[in-house]
Parts: sequence; C-alpha cells; structure tokens
Amino acid sequence: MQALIRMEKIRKVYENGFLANDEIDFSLSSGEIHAIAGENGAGKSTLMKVLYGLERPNSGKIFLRDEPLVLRSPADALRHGIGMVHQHFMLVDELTVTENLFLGMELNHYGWLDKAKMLEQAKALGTKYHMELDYAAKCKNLSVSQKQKVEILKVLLRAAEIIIFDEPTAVLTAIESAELFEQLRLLRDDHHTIVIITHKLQEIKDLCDRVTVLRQGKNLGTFKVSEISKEEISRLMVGFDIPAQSATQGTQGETVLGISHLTCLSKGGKKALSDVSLSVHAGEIVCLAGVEGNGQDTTVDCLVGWRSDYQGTIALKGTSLQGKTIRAIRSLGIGHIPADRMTLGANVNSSIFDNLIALDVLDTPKRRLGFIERRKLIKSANTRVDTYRIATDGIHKGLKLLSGGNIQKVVVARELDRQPSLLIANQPTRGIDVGAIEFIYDEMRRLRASGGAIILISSDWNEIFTLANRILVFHDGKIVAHIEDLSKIDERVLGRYMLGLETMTAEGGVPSEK
Amino acid sequence: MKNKLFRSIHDYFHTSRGQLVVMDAFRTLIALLLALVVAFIIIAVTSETPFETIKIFLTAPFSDAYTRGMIITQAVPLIFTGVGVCIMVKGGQFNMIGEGAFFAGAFIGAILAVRLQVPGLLAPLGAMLAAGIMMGIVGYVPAKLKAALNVNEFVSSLMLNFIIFWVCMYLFSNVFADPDAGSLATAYIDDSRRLPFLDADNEISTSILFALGTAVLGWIFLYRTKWGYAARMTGENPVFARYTGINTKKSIILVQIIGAAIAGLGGAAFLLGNSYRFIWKALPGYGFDGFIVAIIAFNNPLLVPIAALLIGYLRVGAVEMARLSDVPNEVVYIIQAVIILFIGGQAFLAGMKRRRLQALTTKAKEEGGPHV
Amino acid sequence: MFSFIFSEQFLTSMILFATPILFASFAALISKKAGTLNINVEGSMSLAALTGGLISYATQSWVLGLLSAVIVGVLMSLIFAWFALKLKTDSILSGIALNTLASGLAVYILYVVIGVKGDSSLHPSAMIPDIRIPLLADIPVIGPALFSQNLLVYLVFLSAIVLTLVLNHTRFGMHVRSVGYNPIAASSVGIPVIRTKIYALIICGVFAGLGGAYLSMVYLSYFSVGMVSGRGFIGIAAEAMGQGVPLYTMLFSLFFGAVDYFAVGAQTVLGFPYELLNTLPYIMTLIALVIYAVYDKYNLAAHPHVRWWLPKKRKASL
Repeated sequence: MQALIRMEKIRKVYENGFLANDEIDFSLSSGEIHAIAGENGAGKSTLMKVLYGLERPNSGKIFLRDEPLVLRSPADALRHGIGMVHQHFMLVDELTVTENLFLGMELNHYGWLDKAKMLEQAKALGTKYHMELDYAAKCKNLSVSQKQKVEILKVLLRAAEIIIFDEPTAVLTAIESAELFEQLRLLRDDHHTIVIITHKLQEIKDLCDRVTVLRQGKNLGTFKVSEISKEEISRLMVGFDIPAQSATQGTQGETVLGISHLTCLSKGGKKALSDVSLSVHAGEIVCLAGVEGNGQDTTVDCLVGWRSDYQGTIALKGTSLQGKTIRAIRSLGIGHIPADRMTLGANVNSSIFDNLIALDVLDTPKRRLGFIERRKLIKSANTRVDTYRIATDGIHKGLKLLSGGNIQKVVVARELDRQPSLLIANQPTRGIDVGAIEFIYDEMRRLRASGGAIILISSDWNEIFTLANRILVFHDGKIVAHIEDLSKIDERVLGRYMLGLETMTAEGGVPSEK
Repeated sequence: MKNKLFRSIHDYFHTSRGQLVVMDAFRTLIALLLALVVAFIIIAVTSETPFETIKIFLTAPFSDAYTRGMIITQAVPLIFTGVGVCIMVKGGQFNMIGEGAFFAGAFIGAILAVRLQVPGLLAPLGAMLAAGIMMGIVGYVPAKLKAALNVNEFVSSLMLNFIIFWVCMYLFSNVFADPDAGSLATAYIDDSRRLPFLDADNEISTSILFALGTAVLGWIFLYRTKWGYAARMTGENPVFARYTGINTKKSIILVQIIGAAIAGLGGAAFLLGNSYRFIWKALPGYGFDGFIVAIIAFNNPLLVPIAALLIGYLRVGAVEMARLSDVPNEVVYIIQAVIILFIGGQAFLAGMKRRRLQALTTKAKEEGGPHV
Repeated sequence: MFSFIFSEQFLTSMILFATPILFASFAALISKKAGTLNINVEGSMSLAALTGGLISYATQSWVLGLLSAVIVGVLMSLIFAWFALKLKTDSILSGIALNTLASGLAVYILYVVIGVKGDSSLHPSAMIPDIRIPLLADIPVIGPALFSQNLLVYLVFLSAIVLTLVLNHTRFGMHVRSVGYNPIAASSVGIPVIRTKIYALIICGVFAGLGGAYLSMVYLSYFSVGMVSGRGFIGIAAEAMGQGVPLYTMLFSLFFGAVDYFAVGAQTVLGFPYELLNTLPYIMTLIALVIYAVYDKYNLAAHPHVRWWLPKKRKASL
C-alpha cells in the first residue's frame, strides 16, 4: 500500500548543537490514527514540526503520495492538506471563536466583514464534526478543551486531510479526553489521517492503529498497536537497562530535609501536589522520578521558596522554610541547579564572573559597607574555573561566549562549590555534551560522599540508576512508589508506577515518612 | 616602554571581549557619522554658505579658551543626568525623573544656598546635599508605584516631572522671587555661598569636579558594591536575579531613587557653579539629554564624561554656529536624536555584530580543549 | 464652583480643550491595538502643528494646511515605524529620541522660515472653520457645545465611531487586533504582521497630524513652541485607561479636557493660583494610572461591587 506520507532520513540539529532528529525514516498510511511515542526530548515534536513546515530539516526528504514536498512554512503545509493542532494554542484570545476560525481567510465584502455568514458557516462546520461550541464567545472565555476544538476546526476549515496533534490530552481531563477520542475516530471514518504525538501508553492502546517509537532522536520502529503491549512500548521509550552494578551505596546520615503533607494547587485550580511527604538524609541521593510534570518540579518550587502558598511543612534540618525569602533559604545551605539553566540558572547577558559569584556576593559581610570583596571573589571564581575545568580564557568575558556545556558547568560550579547541605539537581545533564556529563556525576558523588544530601530530578534512567540511592516515583501530584533497594527493581513494575497504573502498598515501602 | 603599551593594546584587541568592544565602538562611530551627515544636509539646505557654516560648527568650540570652557560647562549637567540614567537603565528602569529632578534641584540649591545658616563653603555643599536628598525622596514615588503596582515608570515619572515643574514655578513666582531683581529670579547668591570657579574668566566651575566624582562613584556603585550587583542582575535578567535570592523589588526602587537624587544634586551643583540666581522658566532638557549621553557611553558611568564632553562639544558648536551664521542651534537636537535612534537600534549593524559573535563563539569552543 | 462646572461655557470649553487629547488618544489607540505603541505622538503633533500653521499662512488655505499637517504626522509615524520595526530600536528610546528630534526640528524650521524662535503669531494661520448646525445648535446648554463646533471637533467624534466600526467590523480591523494581541498566531495564519502594523501606524500618524493642526489652526491661530505641553502623553494615559475601547478612551479624554479647562477657568473665575492648577491634569493622570494598576493587580473585575458597570462577558455555553 502506498504510504500517504514518507519522511526519509530526516536530520535536524538545533542551533545550540542539540541533535533532535537523527536520520529518521517515518511513514504514514492513509486513514489511520498513528501515534508517535517517546519520552520528552526524544524528537517527536521536532519531527512533526518538520512535517508541518515550522522547522526546516538539515537534510532528508518528505514525500506526499510519492511526490516530493518542500515545506517552507505552515502555509505550505496547509496547502498540501497537512494541518497541526499545537500543544500551545495559536488562538487570539480577545477574538471570538468564529473570528479565530476565519482568521486570515475572512469572508467579507470589500473589507466589511460578513459576520452573519461566517457564523453560519462556522456552525455548519461544527455540526458536521459534532463539535458544540458557542461561536460568538471570545476565546479567552473558553475552557481548555473547547479551545482545542477551535484549533481542530480551524484546521478542518482549511481543508486539512492529515491532522497532527501535539500532546492533545496534556491539558484535558479524563472525560474531555474521551470526548476528543470520539472526535478523532469520527474524523478517521471521514477519511482524515491523524497523527498523535504522545507519551501516554493507555491512549495509544485505546485509540491508535499504529505506533512509532522514538528515543534520543532515533526511530526505534513502527508497530501495529494490536501486536505490541504497553510494557513493550514503555521499554522501548525509556530504554531501561539496569546496569550490572547498582549505584554505590551512600551512608544514610541524619535527616537533612523533611517534607510533610505538602499540598498545593496549580494555576488551573487542580491539585499539583497532594499530601506529599518525603525525607532526604545526609550522604544520599534521592531521585524524584516519574514523567515530567507530575509534581516533581512543583515540590522544588515550594522548597526553594519560589512559591509559598502551600499547606504542609518543609523543614531543612529542623528549620521550617515556609514564608522565608529565596535568599534566606539559600543561605541555609540549599543549592539549586534548575532544569532551565539558560534563562533561570544563568544570566547570559553578564560575565562569567558575575554568574559564578552570584551567591557569594549576597554574603558580603556587613562591615564592608556594601563593597564587594572583589579580590576574594575573583580568586574564588578562578578556583572554580580550574576545579570544574571550564573552558575559558578569562572570567570577565561574557557568558554567552561559552559553549552550552560550559555554561552548564558554570551553573554547576556555582551551586556545588559552596558545599551545600542540600543540592537540588533538576535534569542536570539534559542537553549537555557527553564529556561534561561524567564530570557532573563525579561532582555529585563527591558531594554525597562528604555528607551532602541531593535531590535528583531526572527522566534519564541510566542517570538515575547511576546516581540514585532511593527513588520516589511521582504520579499526578502524589508519590506512588518508594524504591529503596535498586538491585531488586523490576522494570515493568517501575513503568507501571510511572504510568499511575499501580501504587506501592505498605509492604513495598510506604511513601509517607515522618 | 612604548612597545609594551602597544603590545598590550594589540593583545587586548585580540581577545574576544576586546573585539566586541571594538565592534560597539565602531557602531557608535558610524551612528555619529550618520548623524553628522544628516546635520550637514540640513545645514546645507538652510544656509547660504554651507561649507563655512559647517566649518564654524566643527571648529569654533576649540577656537579660544572661553569656548573650550563652554564645552566643559555644558558637559556638567549632562554628566550628572547621564550617570543617573546609567544606573537606572542598568537596573532595568526607563525612568524620566531626571528632567524634573534636575530642575527642582537647581531651584532648591539656589534658595538654600542663600538661606542656610552655615559658614562659607558649607552653604553650597549643604544645599547640594539637601537637593539630592529631597529629589531622592520624590524619586521614591514612581519607583514604589512600579515595584508594588507595576505602574509604568516612564509615564508616571513624566507626569511627575510636570507636577514638579509647576509646583516649583508656583513657589518661584509667589514665594521665592527676589523683588529687587529686574525679571523673575531668586535671591542673589554671593560668591562666598557659591561653588568657586576653577577658571573664572572662562567660567569653568568646580562643579565639573563634583560631576566627575559622581561618575566615579556611580561606577563604583554599579561594579563594586553588592547593591549595584543586585541592580545589574535585576536589569539584565530579573528571573535569574530572583533565583539567586536578590530582592528585585528593592533593587528597582533603589536605582530610581539614586537616579533622582543624582539629578537633584547635579541641578544644584550646576546652578551654584555657574549662576548667581535661578532664572529658568522652562524645563531645560538636561534630563532627556541624559539618555543620549548614557547611550553613547554604553551605560558605563566612567564613559559618561567622555560622552558628555562630546555632546557638549556639539552643543557649543551649534551655539557658535547660531551666533556667527544663519543656522539656528536647534540642529544639535536633531543630531542627538539621530544618534540615539541608530545606536539604540539593535538591528543596526547587528548582522555584522552577530556574525562576529558567532565566529568568536565557535573559536572559543574549538580552543576549549578536552573539557568543552 | 458648581455653577462654573455646569455652565454651558464649561461644556463647550471642555470639548475645545479635550479635542487635541482626543486625537492623541486615538493615535495611541490604533498603534497600541496593533501592538506597537507610538510614544512619539507628542513630537508628531508638534511638527504637524508647525507645518499646518505655516503652510496655511503661506497658501491662505486651511485645506492645504490641514493636509500638510496630516502628511507630516504620517511621515513621523513612518520614521518611528522604521526605527521600531526595522532597526528594532527599543520603542521607548525611539519615542524619546523622536520627541527630541521633533521639538528641535520645530524650532529650527520655525526660525529658518520665519526668523523667530518663539511662535508664528506674526504669521497667523488660516483657521479651520467652525460649523454650526442650524436647528440643533439652538438646544439650550448642550446645543452650542455639540452642534456649533469646529470641523475638527466633529471629525474627532466621528473618528470614535469610525474607529469602533473599523476595528470590529472590517477585515483590516481584525488583522490589526490579532497582530496586536498575538502576532505569532496571526502570522501562523498568514497575516503579514509588519505590514499591518505599518498601516496602523499610518492611521496613528493621521490622528497625530489632525491633533497638531487643531492646535495651531483652531485652538490658537499660530504655532508656539511647546504648545503641545504634554497632551500627547496625556492622550496615551487616556488610552491606557480606556482599555482599548474607543468609547471609553473618548470619555477619559473628555475628562482630562475638563480638568485642563478647569485649571484655566478656575484661575480667572475662582482665583486659584495658575501654576498649581496646571498640575491638575498630570496629577489626575497619575491617580488614574494608580487606580488602573490597583484594579489590574487585585483583579477587581471579579469584585462584586465593581462588576455591575463592566461590559457584560459572554460566557461560553456548553
């Protein structure tokens, strides 16, 4: 059967050197619902952005019914019948549903809008595809799932035959997702072809015909959903390989951090964290595992003082942190390597020096009357450059001149060198070149050996098994599993925890402590 | 000896930082030249004798000691407001309060210098200090509004400028006008209560020393104190600043208070340095000019005096040109505006800068060695 | 004081004083809708006023004067557009720069053409005519205020209506709004973002030009340096308060016009000191800004006491 879409050897490298798609071949058949699965950073979004004309590949070809396509923009893609419903909606909130639908192709008489006719056509379209909406309402008043419907209709109005969905259920409740699936089945029956980017295995099983699994930029294969199990898909996605030896056991010392019954709400009112309790001891690395966005980052936000509107207690060596300023919390000895190192963790507009000594400056003793201890700071910065082998020929140069890996090293150096009692490392090696990765691991192990406590958040299982002493699996704002003996781990069970399919019972190790 | 100097300059220009500095300087130079070209075109169109006029414009400021002195005097207010703007802009705030603060500072300075019951030099010094403090307090208003309510500091400070102006004018006309003076003016300030002249014939006052001192202090604040550090980080990346524990709200307020205080102090210093009475009836524009000076100086207080002297030179050139030819001096404002527009244009010659930056980055990576 | 405020004269004068602010606020409105607020309205009005005054004197034709003022306003907008959109100069910086440029240029041109630096009173402009609508103008109190006004006054009120219609009922208006609210979304459906912004800025320039012409050809009969005296900025503040709705913007501008006139009138009628009254418009603007910010921050829109006078939201059904 002729493939509707064929992508051959697509290669895409981003400007910062990150290889998103590594010679990927992909084919899509007509009239199917096809899932593209993979962990975050696997390359799924990039591949589809290439198909939709949002990104140009460095090399590779695309064929539509064996005709080669060159797509320079989404407009090109739409012209060939390829449409995309983005994860972050491209809607103008202040305009109504109808206006958004017809944006760029408004019905008008010499410039005067024919609002009645557009409304009529919008309603007709909605009826055809069974989407009930208030077409005269402003988009900002719509719920998330309604906005998504508008995006879908937008694409349908422009006669898209192939529709790509980017993580469509990420923002929907279970009921809304079920509704969406009905829509998609109807669309398929109506001769549309659907591609869904997702990492939710149950959905793939429930909805899709075939699934392609990507990992670290490579295509691991395309399978019929009926012929593959969820666990096998999961295995391919995360690629666990339990290393022959488990992580060096750390010695558990005193409790450094205690979190009790932490609960807080997300912006939409949902519970981002529900009754989370955990503790971290000196000399160990605890990993907050799980699919990104299940509460790990929120826990860190509360911990470092970025937000203080939570219930429950967070105590560092007995001192409660709630209500304290970020600076006060920092000075209690918490280091934080954030996931977003470029914007949050570093100031690329400034010099390497300014970045390295950011925490030390604020510690300037009062007797100095505000003057920084410049010589001391310079010495400190130079030492850090040497210790962490940051490749630069001068600390006063701009940070942006360094390579990505070196910028990460600066962040790591700043946070680690102060020997924090508690270090939070959030995706510490994501996007870093191989050479720097081992280095960072060594530093973390060293910190642990000298009695530091470390919280690790990571989606890279190799990393987790290399470093962690204990693993706490998060799902939907709760801790569902607590794994203390890494050698006895069963990958399939781990996968189930991450997907929320199973919760560890009391015998397995209760998540709530203290 | 000389060779060593050349060598080190040569080496500096081969460092990546040195090269970027050269790029920025080059861009500034081009912007200046463009501005001059625009001015020349305007002069050519309106003057009977364009070449003569242009010659006067460019050379008159150096023609004699008095005009040279004028350059320095013209630079004094610009240095004060320029440093104030540097600090505020580095802190991420576009606050226009310098205009009103300078005006009010001069007014306060003129009044207090006469009335302060202190001996000799303490009078002008005290007046300057008081002006600075009072304007600092006034500067708290837009600052607090921005920090607490996110009210745009540009508009609020602009409104405040007009309010300050009219309040001063009211006090000027109705309370502090000197009845013995021929036209509207404050009381005569005796030489003993003014800042002394360095060179009385050419009217160069000690105020220039205060101005230079302010520039140095401004630089020290930004680069050698922890509050200056906090201000810079807040201005460059407020999220990062917060993440490292900096209190960004306090920073935002602090830089605006300082900017207003410096402008106030500068106004008093300028007036007490070169005048015997306060006679202004309109906002002099030095506050707005502070922005031009700051831009040319790359927001570095130490470079502000150079930029101020440059603008001062252009101003004197324009005044002389107006005096000796048929072209009015407003042409200098046109030049100033063009300079800001081009230097401020990020995309102006940005392509060139960006390519150089990329070349330098790749070079750094290559030379990074095994640890990159 | 009350009889002063509610007199016929007050209403008429209020409109007279508010007109330049109205023009400025509409200029700000259209540019803000497109996402690039033009702070240079003040400077544009100044140059437009100068041009209108001089050309109308030279040609003794108010039509040509008006036209030239508008052209100047548009030119200034286009220059702003070039720097803000093409060279990407920070818009506040370009605003400051262009204002300096405009004021310098105004004095310069005035001197070069006439030889004076203060004002062109010796060369009075050809004034834009008043128009009196027969029957309606005889209605007591509001009659003269509303129906016996200058051509430009009618124009500015008409503009409020036209702006509302264009923004809400034309394709162009929709493009402008989408480019202002979410340029990424707009360009994703093929709307040319920069071109649309330029068109909006041209309209902004027209308003600025009209506002300037009003100053030197209706309000006064000549151009005077500094005659704009902050009205451009007050117009921007009025626009901020009007939240992008032309009608509300108009109301706030009228309010500021009233305050402006009150400052002048109260002087002679009530004897308040001239300088302090002059601070009134600016103080009011400041207070209004604060109220607006407080409203925004504490999301008073949700507060029951405030809610009732807000435009009704259409809740999506389903």
